[in-house]
Formats: sequence, C-alpha cells, structure tokens
Amino acid sequence: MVRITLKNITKRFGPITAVNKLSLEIKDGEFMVLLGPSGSGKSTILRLIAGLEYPDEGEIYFDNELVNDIPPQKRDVAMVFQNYALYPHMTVFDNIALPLKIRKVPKEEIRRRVLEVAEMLNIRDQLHKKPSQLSGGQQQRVALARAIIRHPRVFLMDEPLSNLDERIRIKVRGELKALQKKLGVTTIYVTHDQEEAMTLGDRIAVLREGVLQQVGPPEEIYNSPRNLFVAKFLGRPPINVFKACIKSANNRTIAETEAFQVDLTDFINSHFQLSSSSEVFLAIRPEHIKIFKEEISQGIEARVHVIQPVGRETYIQVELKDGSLVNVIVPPKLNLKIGDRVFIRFSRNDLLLFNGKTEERIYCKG
Amino acid sequence: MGRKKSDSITCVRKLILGITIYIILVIYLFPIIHIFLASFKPEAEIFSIPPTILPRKVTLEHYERIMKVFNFPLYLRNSLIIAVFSTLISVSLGSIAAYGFSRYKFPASRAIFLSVLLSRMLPPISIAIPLYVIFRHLGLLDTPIAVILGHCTYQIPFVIWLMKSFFDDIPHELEEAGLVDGMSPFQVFRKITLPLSIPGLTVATIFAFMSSWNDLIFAVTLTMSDEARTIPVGMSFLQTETKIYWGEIAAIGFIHSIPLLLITFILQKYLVKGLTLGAIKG
Repeated sequence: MVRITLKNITKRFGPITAVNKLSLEIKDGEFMVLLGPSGSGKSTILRLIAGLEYPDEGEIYFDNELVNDIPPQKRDVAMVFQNYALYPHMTVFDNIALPLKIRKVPKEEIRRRVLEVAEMLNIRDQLHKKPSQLSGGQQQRVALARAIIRHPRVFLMDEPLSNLDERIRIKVRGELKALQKKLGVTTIYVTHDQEEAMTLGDRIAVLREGVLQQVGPPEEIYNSPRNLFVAKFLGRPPINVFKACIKSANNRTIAETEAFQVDLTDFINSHFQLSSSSEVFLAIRPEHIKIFKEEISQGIEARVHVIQPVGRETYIQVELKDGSLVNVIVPPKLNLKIGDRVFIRFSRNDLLLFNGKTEERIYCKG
Repeated sequence: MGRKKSDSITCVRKLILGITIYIILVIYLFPIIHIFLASFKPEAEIFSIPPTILPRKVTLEHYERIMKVFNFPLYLRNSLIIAVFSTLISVSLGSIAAYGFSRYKFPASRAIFLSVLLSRMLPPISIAIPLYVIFRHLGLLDTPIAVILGHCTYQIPFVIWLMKSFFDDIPHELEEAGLVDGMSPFQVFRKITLPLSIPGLTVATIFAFMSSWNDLIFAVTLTMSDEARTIPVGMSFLQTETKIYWGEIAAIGFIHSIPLLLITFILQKYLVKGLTLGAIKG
C-alpha cells in the first residue's frame, strides 16, 4: 500500500509523445481510473508505473522513494493484462502460485494462500486445469488471483474486463470494486469505457493524447467538466453540443445557434466578458432536456428522428429545424412516434459553456 | 433414410481417404523397405529377374564387409560427432540470436537479419569453397571441427529464421507478466519463453540434425582422409570405376537412416504438444 506520485512525466516513442508532462498523485488505497480513448497514453502511464517502460523526463515516486530506475521485478506491483497473460504451459494453481515461488515462500504456505485466494474468487475447482480450458470469466479471475496473492503495493489493471461479455463484465465489475475496498490496495485501472470508469473509480483522470485533462471524483467529472473533450467523453447518450455566436444588444447578451437563441445576460459572471460576435459551444446533457408534445413558451421546435427504448427510460433523438440532432432521455411511457412534432426546453442552469476556440469551460453563475 | 444415405457417404469418403493414404505410404516407404530387404540379399539376387521381394537367402555379408573392409565405424563416429555438435551449436546460438532479433530493435537490425538469411540463400558450394581456403590457412582442414563449423554456417541462419518467427508469436505480455510477477529477465526466458518455444526448438533440432547428417558437399570439400569423413562421403566411394557395391550401399543406407528415424520418434510428442499450445494464444 503506497501513495504514487507522478511528476512531469514525459514518454516519447520515436516522433510520438505518448505522455506529455503529466503530473498526478494517487492516494494510498485509492481506486484511480485512467480514462481516455485509444492513443491517449493511459496504458503507457500504467506501464511506466509498472516499470515496463521508463520515462524520458519526470519522476515517479512510491511514497517518498524515487522508482524511475527500479526494474519491474523489484517494484512489488501486480498487473492484470487485457488478455490476462496467463502462462499457457502451467496449470491454474502454478499460475497463481508463481509470484510466491519466485519469492521462495515455503511450499505449505503457498498451498494455503493459493487455496484461500481461489476460494475468494470462486475458482477452486479449476486449479488443476490449464488456462486454455477455462472460460473468459474464469481466466480473468485467475489473472486477478495471481495479482492479489502476494499482497502487492499496487494493483495495475489494463482494461481487464474488456474481453468479457456484458453480463459477466457487470458482475465482475461489482466484485472487483468490493475486493479492492476489502484489500485496500492502491489501484490504478485503465479503461476507455466511461461507464466502467464512473462505477469503479474513487477518482477519474481523463486523458487525451498524453495530456491530463481533468482529475476528480466521477460526479465532479460528469457534472463539471473542465473542457469540451471531457464533457463529450462522459455520458451516454453523449452530451448535446451547439456552436453559438454571441450577440450583444440593448445590454443583453444572447447566444445564437442556427436553430435557437439563449439569453445569457444574468448568467454570465460579472468578471467574465463575452465579447460580441465571439463563438462559444453550448452543451446540455440529454437528461436535462424536457420534451413536450404541445407548444410551450421558449420551447424549441423539433421533430422526432429516432426512438430507442432501453427499458427503464427511452433515448430519443430529435431533429431541429437546422437539421442538427439532439439527444434526449425521456420516461418510457411518453407516447411518441417518429416524425411527431415536439418542443424541447432546458434550464439555463444546466447549460455548460465552452470557449469556441480553446474549448475550455467558461464558468457561469449558479 | 436420409441419415442412412449420409452415413454411407461418410463411409465411402473414409474408404477413399484410407486408400489414398495407403498409396502415398507405399510410395514413400517402398525405397526404405527395398533398401532394408536388399541389404540382406546376396549380390546376385538384388538384380535377379523376376525380382524377389523377400530375400530367398538371408545374408549378412554386406554388413560384415562395410564393418571390416570399408571404414564404416569410423564414418559413423565422424557423422555422429559432426551432426550432434553442429546441431547443438547451431540450435543454441541460433535461437539466442533469434530471440534478440525478435525482441529488440537496434540500428540496422532488419538489414542484419536479412543478410543472415542471405547466406542461407547461396548455394552451399559457394560457401564451401571459401571455407576450404580459410580452414587450410587455419590448419583445420580434414578435421571434424572444419565440417562442424561448415555445417553451422548453413544451419544457424535456418535456426534464426525459424525461431524468430516462433518467438514473434509468443505474446510479449507473457514475459512482461513474468517481470511484474517478480522474475528476473533471465528467469523469464528460462521459465516462460523457453518452455513455450520447445516445439520450435524441436523442429529446429530435427532439421539441423538432418541437414548435417545428410550433407555431402561440405563433408566432401573439407575432408581428405577417413579421419574426418562422414557416412555420405564414405558411401560415395562405393561407386567405383569398375563396380558399384549395391549391397553395401543398401546396408549403409539402412543404418544411416536409423538415427533420423529415432530422433523424430523421440521428439514427435513435443511437436504435437506445440500444435495444441498454439491454440490458446490471445
């Protein structure tokens, strides 16, 4: 159990900068999720912490110990790989026991601990088999067992659930979180699945092209994204984004899109001036949009384009008059058909504003 | 009814398959069986018309002659020494080199790899002649060492090529998992990479041994006396200007094929193991 500190880490592969001046602190016992699309450098960060890669610049600390030049076998970390990397020529028992054998733990104790871990992960009947004889979910448990058997200082997990089918994935996800809390080992978990990140992480670090975008608890990342990339990356269906132009007239500030206008006058922070004719992005989450069948004041006219019931709720896409599509989440009982004329409305308090050029968040009142 | 019909189709298919296999087996096995039987026939019977299948009169005279008149025991000894040592050297050096080519990128690694293969593409004689000159200067000519090194120049590129593609197929994650689990790089090689590459090493061993055991060109170019000659070279002396000693050639040919058969039989279980191992990657 250890606190991990990354200071100004840069890692290049030839012309590509995989990780760019990244600083991040992972607290003792924390479940940290690194979230980003492929190529965002999240796996590289994991490999840097494991010692499988060495940083070109910057420092990595485990507590106060600089580990930059310490090889992986001396870092006392455990890693679960995306394809599990079980040793195919060994039985499940030997796979799990190997980290202890290497450390010359007495045979009896190895046996006891393997059985204990196998019991915990429900793979006791599989110990004599070879990895190839197991299902994906069982292989995943063996990989996990191999990681936890030696009480490492850090767990590193590289998309360990992505090869499982949906039903098992959700089950194992819950077990994983409970297990991590029980063992209390500092855990760093890499994924591109925002739902996985939201459900597992104590905190999430969002990455893009090797640059850290935002770190924080899941709710904070979701509700208060620091830039447009983070806003777009989290949430399903994705957040609605409109490009708007700022118009000032009669002491009022209005954001104008192709399809509608929003009055931002009382909404803009006093110390923040939106200059006239500058561009912004307006973003609104699907669950914050209300849909009406009758005309309402300040409603935006739209036509139902796609209806996707998912049981508990229904995802609807409506088409505005300029042709742009808007995602809305509605209760399942709303009786709508494709082509219906509807009106949508949202509260300005739920609106997120982003700078049109830098895509950075413009913070508002409220 | 339909089921019966499909049953009879599979039956016919099996029959055709079986007959085909037997025909192929006869074509491949006939020369070996013929040599085996001919080696026990008296000279006159080997070419008798009509030909006999089983020897009418079993004789061991050819075996006696190759042991006493020809220097067969010496040839056998040389052949074994040369084949075993050239195989050991080329498989161990070649697979270590292959591991390097597979796992590490260094300046011009690809160019070096291709140039290693290039030496394999040349006809053997174009390597044997320069080697003759080199070994004459080194005073190694007409020694088993010369032939061993000669065979190595030819076998090592083959082993490198074979084992590189084999190592390439072993997922890197397995070795990385080993490192993270606490093994030193050498332990990873010994406990993970090596056991997983046994099928590849088996193929490499069989082929290296076979090419050394059967080689004539290097052995004939680099040797001058019976002290270093191998079985194929010795056998070639049984075709003289006045007579071809068919019975003795058959006897030597039969003994010559035994070690290869043995090696293949002993190692074949590792070959099969390798085929099943390949199925679980990913």
